[in-house]
Amino acid sequence: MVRFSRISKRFVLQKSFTGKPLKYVHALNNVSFEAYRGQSTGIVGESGSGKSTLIRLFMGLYQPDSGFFSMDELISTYMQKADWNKLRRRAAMVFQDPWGSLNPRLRIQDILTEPLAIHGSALQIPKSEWANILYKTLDSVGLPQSCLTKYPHEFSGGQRQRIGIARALILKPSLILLDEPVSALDVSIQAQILNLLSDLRSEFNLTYLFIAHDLGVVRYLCDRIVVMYAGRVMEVSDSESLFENPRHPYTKTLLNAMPSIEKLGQIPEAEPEVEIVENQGGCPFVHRCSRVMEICHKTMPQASTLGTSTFYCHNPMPQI
Amino acid sequence: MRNFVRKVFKLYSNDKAAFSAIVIVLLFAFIAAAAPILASKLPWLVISNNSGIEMPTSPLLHAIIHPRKRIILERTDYRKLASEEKISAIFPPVPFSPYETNLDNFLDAPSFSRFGHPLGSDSLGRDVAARLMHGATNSMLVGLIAVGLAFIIGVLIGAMAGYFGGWTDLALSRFIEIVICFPTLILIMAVLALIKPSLVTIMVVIGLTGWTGIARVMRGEFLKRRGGDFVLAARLTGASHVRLILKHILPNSLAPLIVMAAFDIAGAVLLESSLSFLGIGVPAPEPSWGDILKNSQEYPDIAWWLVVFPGTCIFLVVVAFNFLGDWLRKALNPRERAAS
Repeated sequence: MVRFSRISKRFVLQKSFTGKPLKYVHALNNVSFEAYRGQSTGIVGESGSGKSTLIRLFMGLYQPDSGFFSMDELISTYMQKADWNKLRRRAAMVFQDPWGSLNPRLRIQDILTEPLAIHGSALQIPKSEWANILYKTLDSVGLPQSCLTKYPHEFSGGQRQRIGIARALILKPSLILLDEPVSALDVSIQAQILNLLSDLRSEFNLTYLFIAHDLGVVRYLCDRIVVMYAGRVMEVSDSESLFENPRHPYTKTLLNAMPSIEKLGQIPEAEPEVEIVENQGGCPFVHRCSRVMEICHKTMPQASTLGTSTFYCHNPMPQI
Repeated sequence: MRNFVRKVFKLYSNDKAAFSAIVIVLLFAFIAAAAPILASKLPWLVISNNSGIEMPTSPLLHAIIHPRKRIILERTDYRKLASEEKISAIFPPVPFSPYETNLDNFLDAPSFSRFGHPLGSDSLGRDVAARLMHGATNSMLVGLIAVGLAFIIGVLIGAMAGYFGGWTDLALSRFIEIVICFPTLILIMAVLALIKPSLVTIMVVIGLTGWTGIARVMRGEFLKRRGGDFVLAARLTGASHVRLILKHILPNSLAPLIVMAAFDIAGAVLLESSLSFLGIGVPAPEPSWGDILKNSQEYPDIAWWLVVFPGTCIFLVVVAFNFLGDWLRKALNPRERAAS
């Protein structure tokens, strides 16, 4: 359904006096993976790994430097303005920060009707239907109708996030992009929102593209997981096999960093903080990898597919 | 919304400086609006008339309704008739017109006798109180309209620079900096040397030179908000530029501008007084606070009232608008509101 194909994006860090770019950061480097209809695909990775850039690129905030993505029949390279609007009706986004993502000067009904005001005529939804759609959507995210006339500051974080989800659902999209939707919330509320997301998925037959850095959250919600590091995909795998049998050393490191009942009381040894360094030609993870070999410094490994897992590593973890 | 108003009101009732500032501003606004009624040589009401001269029951009202007959009505000296007890009439609190000259009353000291000049008279025998009150109208008008004009220009230019960024921002920011570089007073003097000064030209000139601060604040606000999550959310839904600017960014950027506007009104009032003081302000017979001060320059040792009263008015209005701006800054900032 959604396909990213060899996408690269670099940002200019420093310009020379004449405006010639001097330094780049590769936010995305040759990223390829697919997300299937009806499935939830999680994208995990530490900050700076390019997860958010990928999603923002998908929504048309940036242009990829090379590569393309597609959703159904829409292919980014050939998309015109009308196609972008089509894409925006089919895909919606939920933001990380429920405090920043709702306009404080608008009432909830204005926030929620905005997508209808923009796309309503194209979707042939008459204005008389709007109220009905609002009520239904509010109902499905578990908010009372009375909240329509209130302002965002009258709600708690969890409720605000529900409003954000409602806004994403208004146009009945088939794909929802979730940019760390629970990481700004209390743990108890995280569970509520995750349950809600899981219910909504089956109710509306949604496809999720779920960004997170919390593996526990991803494990709960996602069928497939993409592990990213320094703008590159490290491993793409079924959720289960990734947790059972990670093939990439970086995935293993991520899993080890996860708190769990068995490790109760012990604090995992903190890795020294390493700046993500641009590694010309080689694997970006060489500086931190426990299984590093000489070849890792020189060439980026090709994709290897074994079973349900695709990974980019010269010296992968053994298959169990 | 009601909750907001209540909170703001609560804050303001606790703040003595803000309270007095609002009282002063409202007082001057009232005087400015009602000056033609509060200070005029025409009586409010003629109760009995034994003079043999025909006059309407309310000459002032008559003159307001029929402006063309004002000159004819003002030819009658009602004060003289009243003091000779040929008519009995109710006069405005200040029974003088601001343009009335009478060289017999050269620099009269303040006196509270009937038909004396309550705040003295100037070197042409004009009543200072009447001129102060009518001058308030001019000062307030200049302040409001000049700042309104500056506001419109500043918001437009600042919003464009902040929203579109890139070359637009570069060009507009340099333009703003160039305008800032001109010394305002000298620029205004140069402009007024070329075009005839009048109330309108003064307003326009002050407005055209005073928008830079607002534009810079606006640019900063737009830059800050443009990348904010809720703007991004609207952008991702496909909102147009107009929608983004008018619905999402502008309403969230106005608070600091309202505060600035209050300070700018004070600045404009001061600037207008300075211009009048320099003799290039509101043209001659029109009353203005700065003009009275200019008149005082020639007789500072004799006529203290020509210095003290207009000076106090300017001081009070400028300080009041500054306190008002300060209070608005607090009232419009939710964090400070919550703290108090």
